Amino acid sequence: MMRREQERKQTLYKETAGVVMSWFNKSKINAEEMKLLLNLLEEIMTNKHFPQLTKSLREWQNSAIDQGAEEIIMATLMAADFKKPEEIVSIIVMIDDFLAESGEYT
Amino acid sequence: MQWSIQDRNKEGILFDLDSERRVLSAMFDSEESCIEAYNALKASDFYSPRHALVFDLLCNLFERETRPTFVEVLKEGHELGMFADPQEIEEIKYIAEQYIDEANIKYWIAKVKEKAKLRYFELFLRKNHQNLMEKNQNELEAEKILLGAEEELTNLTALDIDDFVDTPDSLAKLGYDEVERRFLRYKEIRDKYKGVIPLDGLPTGFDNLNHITLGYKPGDLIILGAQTGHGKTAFALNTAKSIALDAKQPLLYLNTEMSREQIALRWASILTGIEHDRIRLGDIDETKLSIIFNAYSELQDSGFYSYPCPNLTPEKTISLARKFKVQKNIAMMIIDYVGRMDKIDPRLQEWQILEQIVKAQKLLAQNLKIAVLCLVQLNPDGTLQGAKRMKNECDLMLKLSPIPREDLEEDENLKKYLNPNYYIYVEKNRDGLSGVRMPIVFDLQRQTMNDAQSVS
Repeated sequence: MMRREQERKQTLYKETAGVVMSWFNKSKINAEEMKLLLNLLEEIMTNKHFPQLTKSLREWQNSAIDQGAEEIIMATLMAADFKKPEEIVSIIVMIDDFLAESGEYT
Repeated sequence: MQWSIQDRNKEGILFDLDSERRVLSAMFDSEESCIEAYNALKASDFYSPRHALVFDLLCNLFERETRPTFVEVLKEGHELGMFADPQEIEEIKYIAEQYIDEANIKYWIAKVKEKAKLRYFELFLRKNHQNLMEKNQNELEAEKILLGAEEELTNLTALDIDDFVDTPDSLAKLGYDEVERRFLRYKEIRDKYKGVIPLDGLPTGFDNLNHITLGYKPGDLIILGAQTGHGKTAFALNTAKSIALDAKQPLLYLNTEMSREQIALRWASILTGIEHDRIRLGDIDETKLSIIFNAYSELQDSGFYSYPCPNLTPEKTISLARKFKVQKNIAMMIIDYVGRMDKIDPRLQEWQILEQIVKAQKLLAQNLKIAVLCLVQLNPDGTLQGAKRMKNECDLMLKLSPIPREDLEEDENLKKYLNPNYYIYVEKNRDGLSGVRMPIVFDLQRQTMNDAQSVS
C-alpha cells in the first residue's frame, strides 16, 4: 500500500515536471520561469526541507497583496538559488512579511 | 558500433532495453543504485544512445554531489541544449518510471553488462571478418592474424572491463619508469632534502613509521590491532589529523561505536592538548574555550569526513568508499573498528568474518587506489583471531600495546627515550623492514600520540 502510494507520488512528480518542460517548449513560459517551477517542484516533492514554503506560497497565491509586493516576490523567487537553504528561508520570511503587512496573514 | 533498432532479430540477444531503463530509473530514485551503476558501467555499455546520454547526465550530477533526480536531469539537459522535443521528455519520463527495488540493482546492472559484452564480441567478429576479407593473398599469415585476434579476445573475456593484461613491452616500460622514479627521488633526497627521505604516500603521523613505510600508499591495506581501551580510536584520529588536517588530503572516517558528538569532542583534545575529561565536563575557562574555538577552525578547513555508523556492513563500506572517492577524491578510509561490523552470515565463525571483511577492504583499496586502515581488536593475550590470514591480505600490520613495566625498568634502549609508554610493533611490512618496535608517547587524557623523543 505504502509502495503504491509512493509510486503514485513519483508519477505525479514526473508528470508535473514533464508539463513544466512542455510549457517551456511551447513558449508558454520562459527559461527562468521554467527553472523556478522545477525548483519549487523539487523542493516540495523531493527535498521537503521547508514545509513552511508550501504554506507561504499557498497563502500568497490566495492573497490580494499589492502589485509592487507581487513583483518583488516573483523577482526574488526567480533569482533564488534553491540549493542554498538560507535563500529559501529568506523567501519564506519575505512572503510572510508582505502577507502580514497587508493583513492577509493567518 | 550501431545497429538498426528495426533489426528485431538482435533484440534480446545483443541488447536489452528494459534492463537499461531499469538501471537508469533506479539511479533516479536511489543514491545506492547510483553508486553501484556509476562504478560498474560506462555510457558505451548502453545500447540506446538516449540511455547512454541519460546515464552520462546522471553521472555528471552525481559527481557534482547533486542528487540526480528527474527534475535535476531535466535542468541539466536544458542547460546543455537538450530536451527541446516533447518526445524526448516523454522518453525520459518513461525511463524514470521503470521502478525496481534498490536491492536488485546489481542484477539489472549485470544484465546490461552482459549484453554490452556480447555487442563488443559481435564487433570483434565483424572487424576481424572485414580485416580478413580486405587482405590480399600475400598478407594472409594465419598465425599472425590469429595471434592478433586472440589478444583482443583475451581482453574481451577478462572478468572486469578494467582488467589489464601486461604485455612484455608495457611491463618493461613500467619497470624502467619505477626505477627511474626511485633514482630521481634518491638524487633529490641527497641534493635537496639533505638526506631526509620524502614520503611515497600519506604521512602516518609518526616520523619513525614514516621512515620505515615511506607513508601509506594508494592500494595499501593497513591493519592496526590493539586491546580494548588501548588507543585504537586515538590512533585513528591522530592518523586522520596528520593526513586530513596537516597534509589536507581528503579522508573518510567510519566509526561503529561513537556518536557524532563523541567524535567531535575528541577532536578538541587532540587539537588543543586539553584533557578530554575536562572538555567533556565543560570544566574549562574562557581562555581555553577560545583556544578550542580556534582549533576547530583547523578541522573546518580540513579534508576530514566522518560517518558514524553503528550498523556498518562490508557492503556499506564499499558503497561509502566509492561515493566519497568520486565526490571528494578521498586518499584514505579508516574503519574504526572491524569487529563491530554487522555479520554477513551469522553461521560464520568470528575469524571467518574478519577474514572476509579484510579481503574485501584490500580489493577496495586496490580498485579505488586509496589506502584503507582497518582497526581490529586484539585478544587479552595480545593475539589476533585469524591473524595469519589477515596478515596475508594486508600490506602493513601494526600492533599497539603498552610497554611492560619490566621493559621500562630493564631495557637500556628504552632509557634513551623521554617517557615512552606504548609500542607500535610492525608485524608485517610488505615494502620494507618488519619486526620493529617503535616507542611512542600515548597521552590518554589528551588523546594524542607522538614519537617518543630521544634524550639528548
